[in-house]
Amino acid sequence: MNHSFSSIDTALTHFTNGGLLVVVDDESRENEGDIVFSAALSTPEKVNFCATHARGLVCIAISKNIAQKLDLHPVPSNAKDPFSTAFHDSIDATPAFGITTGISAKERSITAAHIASEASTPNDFIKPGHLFPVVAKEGGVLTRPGHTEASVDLCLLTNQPAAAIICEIMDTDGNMMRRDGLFEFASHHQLPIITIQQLIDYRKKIQ
Amino acid sequence: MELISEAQLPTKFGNFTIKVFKNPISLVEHYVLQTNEVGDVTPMVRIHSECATGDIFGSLRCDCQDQLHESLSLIANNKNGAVIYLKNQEGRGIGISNKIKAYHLQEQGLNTYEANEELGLPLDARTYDDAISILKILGYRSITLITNNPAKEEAVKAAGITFTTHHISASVNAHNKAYIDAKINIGQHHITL
Repeated sequence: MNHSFSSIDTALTHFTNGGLLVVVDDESRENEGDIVFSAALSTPEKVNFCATHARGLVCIAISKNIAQKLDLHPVPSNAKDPFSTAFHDSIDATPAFGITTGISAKERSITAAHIASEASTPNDFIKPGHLFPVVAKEGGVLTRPGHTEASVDLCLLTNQPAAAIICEIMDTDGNMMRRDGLFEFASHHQLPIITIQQLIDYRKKIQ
Repeated sequence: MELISEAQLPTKFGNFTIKVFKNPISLVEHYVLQTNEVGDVTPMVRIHSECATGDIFGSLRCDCQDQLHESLSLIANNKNGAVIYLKNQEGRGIGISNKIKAYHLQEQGLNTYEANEELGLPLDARTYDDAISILKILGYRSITLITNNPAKEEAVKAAGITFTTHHISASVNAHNKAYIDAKINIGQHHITL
């Protein structure tokens, strides 16, 4: 099957409108595809889509600025993760925002929107919680070609708060979905699909 | 699936309400033309895949506009039912630019299915999940489905909606003969000529 990736312009427009993207990294890296969408424009349906169809871990990629503003700290590491994913304190919004246990799609969506909100403060969140912040390296995909950086770069390129929901896409057999499967997944759900390399090229071009 | 907006739409086929539904994940907006009257009769439903060349321009390479217009007439006369117009289904789901590439190959003698194959594209990339969601929102549990396409019958059946099928005849011309033949022989469509 002759599959092709979407254009960056198509992906950025879709992302700006709150749409979901499939973002794949290099086949020599993790070789995984993640669902990515703006946390500021999160809805329960979108989080539920991640849990139902992508079925990975629902995380929120954020900038270092947001992590500092919300007083989120790196999870203690034994430095054995080959990809050095920057997991920080898991969080939920407080009951004042309608949170009960924090895990439902609706409640994770509320937490995500509050992480993205400029008005939020550390007091608006409880730790630990059900949403997992991963913090992007400064410099984004030009520093580290990972899904975390790609997601935060997508927010910055579309003038949105630097917070995006991300979730790895798993195949129905429980293995990670690879390229052919990811193309079919994107086609079936009518979502744009791009590579992190496309984002790197785009950022270099516009600099 | 979210109902975004609706309004009256008088057409030359009859008076309808047009409803715009948006898939919250893909952001694709589909149109529904629904009859205003809801009689005791079983609703007639056409799940129509967008075809800009046929539906808008009246292309003779396909029979899409004929099917759309006949469906609108049937549904208006039935005084109960809807056309679900699925966006993003251009060229059996391969997109307008690929469809035109396939047309170019057809000018060299290939049929629609062979042309898609030559381009390395799926023969039929359409899914009907959005149509089924809309049918459920409209509250249609038992329908007369206007189609010749067994894949659409399959989708409705899988959703647990009871139906009978109303086949529509195809108007064959010199430009769409290969297209109609391929629909019958490869797509297994039930077409009476």
